[in-house]
Amino acid sequence: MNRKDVPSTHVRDRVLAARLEETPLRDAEAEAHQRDCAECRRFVEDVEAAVQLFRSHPVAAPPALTALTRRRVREHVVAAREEDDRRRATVLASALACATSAAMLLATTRCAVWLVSWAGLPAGVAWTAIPVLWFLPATLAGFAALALKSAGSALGTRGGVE
Amino acid sequence: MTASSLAMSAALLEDERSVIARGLARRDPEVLDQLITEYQHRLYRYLLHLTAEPALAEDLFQETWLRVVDRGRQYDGRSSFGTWLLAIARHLTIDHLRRRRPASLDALLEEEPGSGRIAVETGPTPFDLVVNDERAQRVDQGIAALPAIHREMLVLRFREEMPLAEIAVVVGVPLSTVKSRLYRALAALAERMERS
Repeated sequence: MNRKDVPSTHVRDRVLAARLEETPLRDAEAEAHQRDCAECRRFVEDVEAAVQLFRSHPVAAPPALTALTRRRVREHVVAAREEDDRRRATVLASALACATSAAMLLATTRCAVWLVSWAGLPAGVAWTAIPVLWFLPATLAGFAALALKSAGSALGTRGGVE
Repeated sequence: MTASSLAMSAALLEDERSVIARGLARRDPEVLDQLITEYQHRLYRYLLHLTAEPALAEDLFQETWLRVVDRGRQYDGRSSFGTWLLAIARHLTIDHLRRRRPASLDALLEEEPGSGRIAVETGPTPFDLVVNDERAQRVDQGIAALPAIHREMLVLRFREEMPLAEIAVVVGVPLSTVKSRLYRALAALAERMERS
């Protein structure tokens, strides 16, 4: 086979394709061309050399970097676990608050209904009284806070410092 | 290798992956320690070839492991841990480069490196030993002059010996794109060496 029979670019393409897939170049035409063409031979040698260089390049992580990374990872794990614990505690507290509120609502409603029935009042009074029972303490607390603030008390002035 | 031994090694691999997944989900320091030991050189090599800057590679190395701690629960053991780790490292590198110079991802990785020579941290390299070899010099120069996107392909395929399918997972592109990028990388390298 003469080197003129096969264009060099085709041979190079075949060589690259074979190298890429890590398959041996079973291509008589390309092999014959390489034997005859110094340029292509050099191209193939360059590709092989590049691959070999990559394989033999002994780049290793510096031990100091690995040690530092291990330390940072351990610290990060501790911080992440603490964050997890905090998040879990918040979820638990919220769930507990919701459950308590639901229980309180139920108990207050039952009490109001029982009291109204015990006093012999019409049932509609109970349904009027329930929101009052719920909102009255909060409203009273709000008024109390306003009153304390206007009076300049310790509660209304952040620790008593004017 | 017989079919039963193949099945056994596949089962062992599967088991190892699920052990890693469980350990990461628990943020088990022992498991993390073992993983750092096993993958330190591979990760560092990859980052060094991708960035061509040892200081940046070291920063990203640490950041990658911290990200592994944070995102450990997302590893499901379906792909190998090495593939997952390199994908994280790649994302961090791109984020970093994007912060440095806002541009498209391809543009970032395809930029010609300014000083792309890879610094080797340990001992004399085979390159040092054959420094008089004209071809070795040309290869080194050729690799250094390649854009990061091509260096990445070459290092994953020929240094880390990754199958093309795994490279596709790391880089997040189809297999056909991996093939064409690898082809272009090899061709570019050979062309640069020929020119030099």
